[in-house]
Amino acid sequence: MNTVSRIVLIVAKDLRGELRTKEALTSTVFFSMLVLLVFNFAFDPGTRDLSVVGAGILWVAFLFGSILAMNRLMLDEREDARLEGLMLCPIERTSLYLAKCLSLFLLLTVAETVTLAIFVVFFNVPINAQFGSLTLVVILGTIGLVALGTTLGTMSVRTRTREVMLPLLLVPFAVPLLIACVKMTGSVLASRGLAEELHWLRLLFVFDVLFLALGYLTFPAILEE
Amino acid sequence: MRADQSNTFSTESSDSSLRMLVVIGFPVVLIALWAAFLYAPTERVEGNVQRILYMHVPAAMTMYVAYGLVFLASVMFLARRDSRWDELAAAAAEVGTVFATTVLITGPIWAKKVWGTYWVWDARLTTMLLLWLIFCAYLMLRVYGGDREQVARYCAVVGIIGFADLPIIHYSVQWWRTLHPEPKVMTQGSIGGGMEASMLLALGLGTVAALILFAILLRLRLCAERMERRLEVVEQLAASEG
Repeated sequence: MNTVSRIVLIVAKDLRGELRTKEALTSTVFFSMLVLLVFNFAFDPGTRDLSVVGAGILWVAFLFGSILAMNRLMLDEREDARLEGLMLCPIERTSLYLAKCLSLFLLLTVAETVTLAIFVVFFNVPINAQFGSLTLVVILGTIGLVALGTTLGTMSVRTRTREVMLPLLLVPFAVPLLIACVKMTGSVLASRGLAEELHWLRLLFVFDVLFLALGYLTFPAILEE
Repeated sequence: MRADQSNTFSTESSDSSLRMLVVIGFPVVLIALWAAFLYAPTERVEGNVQRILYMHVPAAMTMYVAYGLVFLASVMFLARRDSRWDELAAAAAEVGTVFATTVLITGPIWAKKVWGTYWVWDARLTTMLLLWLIFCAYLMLRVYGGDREQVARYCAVVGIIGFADLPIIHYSVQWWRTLHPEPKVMTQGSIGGGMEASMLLALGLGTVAALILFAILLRLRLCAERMERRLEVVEQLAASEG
């Protein structure tokens, strides 16, 4: 069995578990919806330029929702010593990182698609021709969050404070990603497209590659026992 | 095993090098203070408040040295798994955060007088703030991380990715918006071109003083860290022998 099929096996195991309980997915979507609701009352975006406020609201909902999902996924692995079980499997620790990233990525993209739909309905977002490029922004942004979140989440659930540690570590690291995604999403909402935002796209790409590489390299050190 | 290892740092040798640092450092700090408050001329536009520069900029430079040291020690720890590198990272992160806090306190005081506002979300301020937040989280991880060995590994990872994030943070907040004055001391054309020679001298002295102060604090913090770890070993031994 090669590495790819091993990774697929672990991802399939994660997804099967998630499909049985749907715990992470429902809580993440519901929480993101609540963030949208809170921001609606806090900022009254109906009275402002949506391309300015809306992009920020959407990404805060994504970011906070993703923290919930990461904690759910990582805490699950602590139960019944599941992570220890995985560590005993004949699979490299680095492949374990990629598998965890992929599971989290699939979970988050589903949650974000639902959140985006709710966002469009709640805030009456006019769907324009640029919405296709929003997919690219969301995917690249999610990859960055996943790369960081898998590294930091695996660590934080094993500390004494458990899930409290993750947002404290993740948010300052994720600020460049947040800025880039908000800028590009704002452009899309204003139907300008990404042509003027190529430097942000490049920055986001570098962010993704850097943290995937660092996560891949440092994951064995995190999992040592 | 660990107790033997820390014995190789005999307290005598660390005492003598510390004494030397203090003997050199004390006059240098005094001279730097004299240079900042008496020797350097009063800035024409900003007035006396500009003298904050002689503390603000050296503290910022020292902070970067400290956090650079955290990065190096973290890489070395993951490569060699020698707890001495972890001790160095722990001490440098803590002392570096003291200097980072100094920068964040002196900055707004200066800014209020010169820019008319305590805080602006300008590139360098935002980078500083984020770096400070990352290392605050790092220090929290040190406290809540679990057992020594786990904390050492986790903190090494955060120390590495924290430092790697720095250039990305820098560019992102720079493109986002910027107000901070262009670098004056090191411009593309020359070093020190934008400043009066006496001001530059005061700044140089301030930097040397801050670095020596950093070395002294780092040394003291390292001693405390080692004593703490030796105490833990002794306590464990005592507990096991009932």
